[in-house]
Order: sequence, then C-alpha cells, then structure tokens
Amino acid sequence: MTSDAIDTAESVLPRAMLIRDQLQRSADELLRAARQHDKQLLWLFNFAEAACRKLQVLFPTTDDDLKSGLYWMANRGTVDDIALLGAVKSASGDLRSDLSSLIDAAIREITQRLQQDRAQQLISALLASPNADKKAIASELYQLGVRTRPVRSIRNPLVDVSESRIPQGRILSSFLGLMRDSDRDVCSQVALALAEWAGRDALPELTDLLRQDCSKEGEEAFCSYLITALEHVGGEDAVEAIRAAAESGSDPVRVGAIHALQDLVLGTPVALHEGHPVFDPRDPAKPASRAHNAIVDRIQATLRRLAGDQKVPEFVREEAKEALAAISESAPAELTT
Amino acid sequence: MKNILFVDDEPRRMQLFVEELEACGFHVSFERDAETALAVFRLPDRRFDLIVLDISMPAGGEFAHEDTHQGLRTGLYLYDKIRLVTKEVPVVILTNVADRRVSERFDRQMNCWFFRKSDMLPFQFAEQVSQILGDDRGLPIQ
Repeated sequence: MTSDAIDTAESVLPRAMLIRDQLQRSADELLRAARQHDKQLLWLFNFAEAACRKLQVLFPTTDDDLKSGLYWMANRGTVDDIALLGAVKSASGDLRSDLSSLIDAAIREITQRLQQDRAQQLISALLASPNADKKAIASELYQLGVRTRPVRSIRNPLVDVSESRIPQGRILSSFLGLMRDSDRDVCSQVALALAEWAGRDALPELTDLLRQDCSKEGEEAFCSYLITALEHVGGEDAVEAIRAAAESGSDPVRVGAIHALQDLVLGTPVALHEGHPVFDPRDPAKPASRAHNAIVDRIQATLRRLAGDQKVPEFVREEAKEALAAISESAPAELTT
Repeated sequence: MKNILFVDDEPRRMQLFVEELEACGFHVSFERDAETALAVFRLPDRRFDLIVLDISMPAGGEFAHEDTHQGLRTGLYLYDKIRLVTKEVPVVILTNVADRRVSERFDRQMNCWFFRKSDMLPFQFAEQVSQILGDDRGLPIQ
C-alpha cells in the first residue's frame, strides 16, 4: 500500500467507523420495526447488514471483529466482495497469518458459491434448451467443472467415489436422461460434464451405457467420453466397468480404457492436459490401503491378460504393456503396505 | 423457566435474537466461542433445554485440532461433541452458512433444526424456538 493510500485510509477511518455504527443502529431499528410492522423489512435489514459487513472488514475494531466480518463474507459475500477482500489483503502487509488465510478462504467460498449458482443456471438451461444449444451448454458446464474443482483434487479416485457437485440432486435423473439423447455429440458433452459434476448416483447409468456400447461399431468416441466420466467419478464400480471395457470393448475403446486404468492408479495426466491450475498426484507418503491394493491388483491382472493375449491387436498389447510398466515403476510408493 | 444455551461469536449482532427469546420467557446463556460453550455444556450442574448454535466461529482450544476450515465450520464439530454427550437436547442451527451440504447434513439429524439468519427476523426465530420447546405461544411475555 502506498503512503498516500495509507494517509487516505487513516483520514476516512473515523468517518467510516461512525457510518458503521449508524448503519448498525439502523439495522437494529429495522429489526425492531419489523417486529411490529412488516416482515418485509427483513430485506432492508439484510441490505443494511451487507453494508455494515463491508465496513467491518475494511475498518475492523479488533482482529476478532475482522474475523467475524470475514466469516460473514465467506458465507454471504457477493462478487463485489471478492475485490474488496483482495484489497484488504493487499493493503494489510502485516496481517496475521490466520487472518490472511481466512481472507483467502472467504474469497474461495464466495467464488465457489458463485460458480455453483452458474452451474445451476447451466444445468437448468441444459434441460430446457433445444438440442442445437445443448452441446455448447454441456461443454461450458464441463469447463466450469474443471475450473472449479476443489483444490487438491484431480477427481479420479481409485477407491472412494467422488462426491457429487451437482447443485440439486433431484435433477440428476433428467441430467442422466440426456445421455440417451438422439444426438451423440450432446451425449458425449453431457458425459464429459458428468465427469466433473457427478457422483455415485450417476454410476449405474454410466456403467450400463458403457457395457452396452463398448463393443458397438461407431460408438468408440462416445465410449471414450463415458470412460472419462467413469474415471473421474471413480470408485470400485467405475473401475470394474472400465476394466470390463478394456477386456471386451472394441479396440479403440480398449486403448481408452487402458489409459484410464493407468490414470486411476497413477493419478497422472488428466488434470495436466486440461490446464487445470492444481495438479495433485497421489501423495507418495500416504500408504495405500488394502482396498486400493486389491483394485490395483485386478487392474494389473487385466493389463497382463491384454499384454499377453495374441488375439489382441499388437497396438493394444503395447498400450497394455506400457501401462503395466508405468504402474510397476510407481509400485514402491504406491503399492506398499 | 427453560434454559437456552446460545453460541455465536457475535454477541452484539445476536442481541436482538436473545432479547426476543428472553421476551418469550426463556433464560438465555450466551457464549461467544465453541470451546467455552462446550465447557459450560459439560458442567454437571448445568442443564439446557435447547442449544442455539452458529457454524462459523473461531476455532480455538479443543477445536484447534479439527479441520474447521479456518473456523468457517467450527459449529459442525461443536454439534458432534454435544451429540456425544446427549442426543436429547434440541439443537437449533442459526447461521449465515449458505452451503447446501451443511444444511443437508443437519436435515438428516434428529432433534435438530436449521435456520439461516438472513431468512429470519429475531421474533420469528423466537416463535420457532417456542414451538420446538412445545411452548408455542409465539408471543413475548409482556
């Protein structure tokens, strides 16, 4: 913060504190008035409180006061407050570390909330729009999902199924219904969006579709999207479906499934090629669980079968061998205990 | 007179809620941090008929070991610790937290109610508490 800015801030401080007190008193009066007159005054109270909270964060009386303001911001702040919080942080060079990280957390919470709202809009639009628009909307939903993945998650878990991020669970069935749309491009983009947003509830539909289509001619591209969706939602059922596709799918589907199985074990390129800012490979310090090892064993068994099966085309066998080698290289870190 | 433990880190802003509860004839003990509230709740000679709980509160003492998201979710852990002691006491969550996952977590709980501060005037809140406690006059004692 420049010295001019500091001088300006100091000169407005008494007035800002006065306004804040007045606003707080006004807010209290509104509540009292609402008690006797009109419940709609709640809206006015919330409006006044929002203004109070901005002043509380800008001109806190104590660190605890700032903390309370930040809690409110995290839970109810709006897009304007993101800029305000950023300014508070950059203007406060000697801010305590817990307060600084709370500002970051508040910005993150507001951002996630806004993105959830946007996701809700997109999902509603997806369900209501004509087919011509569905593909683009689903694609935007997918991109929003990638950008807003929770930090430190690449969303392709081997053992635990990803938690659904779809804002309203009840619309999932309509969402899944789009996977059977007559336009395969729409289905593919919806599958990709599900990869980012869906959880356990979507697995039966995704696994059914992959089982039905994995060996059909002309469905290779759609199946690759299904495999991506299953890989990102993760969990044992998803792994089993991908493993089955690797063993009995058409050759291009087999290759896609082999890559997905490798990614599920190693947690590799998925996030990188999407340009996601946070890449979080499996933590090598964390010992793998028994369930994890059992799933990896089954994946390796499938890959060995494919690598050694002379009836399988050579390029598929080579992919299986490479995946096996990559998984074996990671064994000391991943597969111990 | 029924006793209410009110836990919120902002006593000044919750004053009107407390006043409305008191006007309905309840005795309100206010605690502004989770650690103290838990200690008070565990006192053998204190008995509360209902607990009002905020979610975002500073996470000190016993709660420092939990992942409270910088205090944004401290109340979740306080709720769990209260439930380890008893499942009988009604708990009313009164919070600004808008995260659907948090409200859904409490929707599944027995003997628990979830309200957002932004949706409720203090006297409406007092009416709800009166109903929960089976004392649904909903009107303050004059």
